Amino acid sequence: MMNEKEIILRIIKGDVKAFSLLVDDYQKLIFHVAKRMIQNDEDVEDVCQEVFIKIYRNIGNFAFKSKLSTWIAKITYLASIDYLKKHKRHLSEELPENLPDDLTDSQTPEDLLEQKDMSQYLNLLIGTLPAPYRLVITLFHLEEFSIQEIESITGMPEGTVKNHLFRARKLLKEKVKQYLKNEHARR
Amino acid sequence: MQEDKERRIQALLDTRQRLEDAEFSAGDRDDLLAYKTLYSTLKEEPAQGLPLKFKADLLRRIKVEKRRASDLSLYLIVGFVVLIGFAFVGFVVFAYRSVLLSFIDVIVKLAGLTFTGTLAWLLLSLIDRKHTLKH
Repeated sequence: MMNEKEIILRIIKGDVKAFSLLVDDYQKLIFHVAKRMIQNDEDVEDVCQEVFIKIYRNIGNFAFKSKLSTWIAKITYLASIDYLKKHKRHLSEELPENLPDDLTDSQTPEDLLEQKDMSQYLNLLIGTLPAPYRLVITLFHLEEFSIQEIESITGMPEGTVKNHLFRARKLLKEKVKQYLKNEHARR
Repeated sequence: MQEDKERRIQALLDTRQRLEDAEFSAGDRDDLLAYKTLYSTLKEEPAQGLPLKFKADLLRRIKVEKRRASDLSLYLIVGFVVLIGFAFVGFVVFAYRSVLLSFIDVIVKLAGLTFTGTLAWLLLSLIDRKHTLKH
């Protein structure tokens, strides 16, 4: 079993097998970040591949000053921003007052609620939030990065990160509360 | 007031403190339960991920890139050797320029003969080729 430093040193020497181990370890993180930023599946796959190529080319520049996961998340974030700019997608930062009840997907939130799939329901709701809010929620809760690490990944000031987290969670909480109330009434 | 309460609940959950329902009023308990459900659901990994072929495609691309990089170093070495070769030829030309100049003189004087000879050779080759194709 190789540790992270060993893997990095072997990748620098051109070991593709070591790089394959890194892909196994970090493909979920990269996918989660890119997916939250870009959302379209095919584009997400392209961006993920670009991110791994960038990692392969630049891993010699990794100075071990932060966690490797933070460095990789930052590369993914910047690659996603570049992609959105290149494809002229508007990066809205305005948080809606309320989250929509009717989401266009193969399954409506009501279907999902009936299947008691809270996770999928929440993912659809998160998808309606502006990109910076989606990203911060994912980095903090799913990837368990600290506020300071999110600050270093996104370049957002600490206060903004905290504010995005608070407001997004408050909106999502309202929907969960409504869901729990409906569940209670149904019983 | 409501916002303060929300901030308090979120801060407590962020620091993973044990929250007793008794600390909250009946109205706040609904919020607390909703937040607890939200926090635990947000930790769940989405079912969707990258396709299985993703890693194979990526590693193939990396191998191509690696091969290209090694080809580039080979081209650089060959380029360097060719450069050294040209420098050597340049040095020989410079060192033996008087001999070369008299050789070039002869070529220039016989330019007409050289041109006619080359043209005749090309014509003969062409006729010979047509003849061979016919039979």
